[in-house]
Amino acid sequence: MAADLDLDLVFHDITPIPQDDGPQPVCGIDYARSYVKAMDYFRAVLRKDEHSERALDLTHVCLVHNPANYTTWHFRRQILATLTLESTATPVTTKYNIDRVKADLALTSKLGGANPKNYQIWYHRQSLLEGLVKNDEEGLRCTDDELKYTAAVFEEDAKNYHAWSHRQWIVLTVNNPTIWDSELTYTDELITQDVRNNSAWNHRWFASHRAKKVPLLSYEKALLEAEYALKVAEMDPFNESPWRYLIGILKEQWRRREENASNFTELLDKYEGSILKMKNDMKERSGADGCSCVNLISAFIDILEMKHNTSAFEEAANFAHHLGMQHDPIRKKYWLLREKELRSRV
Amino acid sequence: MLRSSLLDETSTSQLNGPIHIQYFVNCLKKLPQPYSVADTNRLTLVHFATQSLDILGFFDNPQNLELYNIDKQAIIDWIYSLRTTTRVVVPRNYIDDATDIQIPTDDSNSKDFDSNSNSNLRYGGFKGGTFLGPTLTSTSVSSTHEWNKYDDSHIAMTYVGLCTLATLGDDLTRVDRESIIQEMKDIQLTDGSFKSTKSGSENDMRFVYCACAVSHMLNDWTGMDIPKTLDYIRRCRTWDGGIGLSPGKEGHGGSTFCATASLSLMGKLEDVLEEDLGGGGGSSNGRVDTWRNELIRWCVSRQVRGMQGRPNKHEDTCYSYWIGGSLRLLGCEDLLDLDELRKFVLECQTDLGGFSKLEGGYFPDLLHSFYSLAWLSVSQPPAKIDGGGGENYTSGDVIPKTMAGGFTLNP
Repeated sequence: MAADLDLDLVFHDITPIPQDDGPQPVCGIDYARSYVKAMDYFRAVLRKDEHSERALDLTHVCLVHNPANYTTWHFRRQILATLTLESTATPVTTKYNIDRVKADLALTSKLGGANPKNYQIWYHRQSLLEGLVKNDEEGLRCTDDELKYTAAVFEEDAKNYHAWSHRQWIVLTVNNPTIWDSELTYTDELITQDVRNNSAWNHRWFASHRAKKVPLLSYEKALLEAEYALKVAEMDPFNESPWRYLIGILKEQWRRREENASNFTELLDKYEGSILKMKNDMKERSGADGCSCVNLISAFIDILEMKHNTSAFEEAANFAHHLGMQHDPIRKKYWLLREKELRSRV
Repeated sequence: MLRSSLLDETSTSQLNGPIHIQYFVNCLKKLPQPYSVADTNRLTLVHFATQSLDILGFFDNPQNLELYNIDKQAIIDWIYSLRTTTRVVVPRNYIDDATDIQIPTDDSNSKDFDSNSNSNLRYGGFKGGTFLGPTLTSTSVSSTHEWNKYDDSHIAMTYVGLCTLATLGDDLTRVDRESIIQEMKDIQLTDGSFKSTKSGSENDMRFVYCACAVSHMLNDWTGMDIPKTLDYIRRCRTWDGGIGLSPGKEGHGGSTFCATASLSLMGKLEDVLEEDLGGGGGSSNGRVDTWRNELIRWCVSRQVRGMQGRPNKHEDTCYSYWIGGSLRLLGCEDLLDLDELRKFVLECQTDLGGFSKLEGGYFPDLLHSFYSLAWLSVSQPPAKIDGGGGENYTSGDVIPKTMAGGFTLNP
C-alpha cells in the first residue's frame, strides 16, 4: 500500500531536500518526523519534476499526512496526466484514464472521510470528473455514483457546504429534465428528515429554478412551491427556513407582477389568509401564542408589505412593534427600525 | 487597540489580555503538530497572531518585544522570503490543470520588467510557507535563484502578507506591485470570480475578497475587471437575501462578509446593494425593494446570542466578525444586541489563552482567536474625546485598520 512506502528504499537515488525555513522561522510547526521525511523527498522529486509511479505513490504518502497541500494535489494531477498520455492502453480520450480516475476517486473518498470540509480534496474530485460527468449513458452512470457519494456525505452531515456545492456542480453539468426533477424529490427527502436543514431548502430553490435557467417560476409552479413551504412551516412554525422560502417564492412573483397582476394578488391574498389562520390557530393547537412565533410574524410582515397599501403598512408596523418590544427582544432595534420605516409609508 | 474601559461598562467577563498575548507569542514561535494541515497557509497563521497582538496593543509598548523575545524585522524578512516574483526562465510545457492549456514560455502578454533581459518573467505575490524548498531571502531577487516551477503565489497569502507587513510597520517598498497586479489578471475567471493560484484551484467569493483587499492596499485596481466582479457578486445573492460562496450556494456568513467587504473596498456598496430589485415602492414611499434591506434582515436574523453562520446552525465566534463586520460596513451593526454578542464572545476565551469557536471546553485556535478579537475591536463604540486610547479608530476606518493594516501605498 502506498502509505507504507519505504521511502529510503524507493528513492535511494534521490537526495532529499530539507525545508529551508530561513534563519528565524515564524509560526514554525512541530511536524511529525515521518511527515518531514516524506516532504524532504517530495521537494526533491518536485524539483526533478519526475512523473512516475513512485512519484505518484509519494504524493499519496504526503497527502495522508497533509491532504490540504494544494501543490501536492496539483503535482499528482500532473503525474496522472503524464502517465495517461504515456499509457499504451486504448486511445486516450480523457485527460486521465478511467482506471486512474476510479483509483483517485477512491483516494479522495478515503481522505475525504476524515476531512469532509477540505477544499483541495473536493477540487481534486471535481478535476477528475471533468468530462466524465455528462448527459450520456456512461456519463449518467458516473453522475449517479457521484450523487450517491454526496448523499453518503449528507448522512454524516446533511449541511456539508462542500458536498452541496459538488452536488450542484454535478446537476448543473448534466442539466437534463430528469435530474432536475429527481433533485427536487431529493430535497423533499432531506427536508422530511430535518425540516430545519437550510441547505436542503437552498437546494430546493436551486432545483426548482434549474439554477437560474428558470428566472421566474410559472404561477402554477410558484403555487406548488409556496404550498410546500407552508405545509412544512406548519410542522414547526418556529423554523425559519420554510418561511423564508415562502417569502422568496412570493417576492419573486411580486417583482414581476406586472406580467401577471391578477394572479399575483390572488396568490398574496391566499397566503395572507393562510398565515393569519395558522397564527390564530396556534394557541389551540400547540398552546403557543401565534404572535410570539417570530418567523411566522416576520413572514406576515413581508406579505403585508407586498400588499402595498396604507392599512397593510399600518398593520405590519404594529406587528413589528410587538416583535421588538416583546417577542424578539434580541432584535429589538431591528424591529423598531422596521416599524418606523413602515409607519413612514402610512 | 482594545480599551479595557469598554469591557468594564458592557460585560461581566473581562478580556484576559496577558494570557492572550502569551498565546499569540507562543504561536509565533512554534505551533503544535496538528497545525501540519495548515502548512501551506502558515502566512495566514502569522497574520492571525500578529494582528491579534496589534489589537491587544502589544506593539504599542516597545518593551514587549524584548520581554517576549519577538523580533519584528525577522518576521518581516521571513514574509519577504515568501515572495514568488522574480525574473526566471519558466520551463517549457508547464500545464495549467485548471484550463488544460500550455502556458507558452515566450509570453508576449506578460510585462517585461527588464527590456534587456532574455529570460521570461515569473510574477506574483506571496506563497504561504517554505514547504517547497529553498527560501528567497529578503534581499535576493536574482535570476540564479533556482525556482521550483510549482512555487506559485496564492492570492490569500498575498493578502495576509501585505496586511502583516503593514501591521509590523514595513513600508512595503520591497513589494513588487506590478508583479502582483499582473498575476491578478491571470487568476480572474471569465465569470468574474477568482481562483487562488495560477496553477488552478476552486474559485469563489473568498478569493474575490482577497483580490479586492490586495488591490485596495496597493491602490491599484487595474488587475481586475470590476464590472465582471460586481456581476459575480450579484449572482451570489440568495433567495433569502444572503450571499453564497458562489452562484446558487446557500447564504453564509463568511461569503456575506467577503462580498460586502469587496463591494465596500470597490466603492460599490450602494451601487449594488441599493439597486431596485423590481418590487417597486418608489421614492415616494421612501423604501425601494433592495438587496440591502434583505441583507440586513438576513444578517440580524443570524443572532442567537452569538452569531450563527447560516440559518438553523450553531453559533460560532468567528461569525461575530463576518456578520457583525458586514453590518458595520452597512452602517447598522447596532441593530444587533451588541452586549449579548460581546458577552458570548468573551465567554469563549479559554484558560490556555485565545478563543475557541464555542464556549464550553473547546481548544482555542488562531482563526477563532483572531476573529473574536477583530470583532471586539471593530465593535467598540467611538472613543470619547477625553477617553484616550481610541483615537485611531473612526467608524469608516476600522475595517481597513484591522484587515488591511490601515495602509494604502500612495501612487
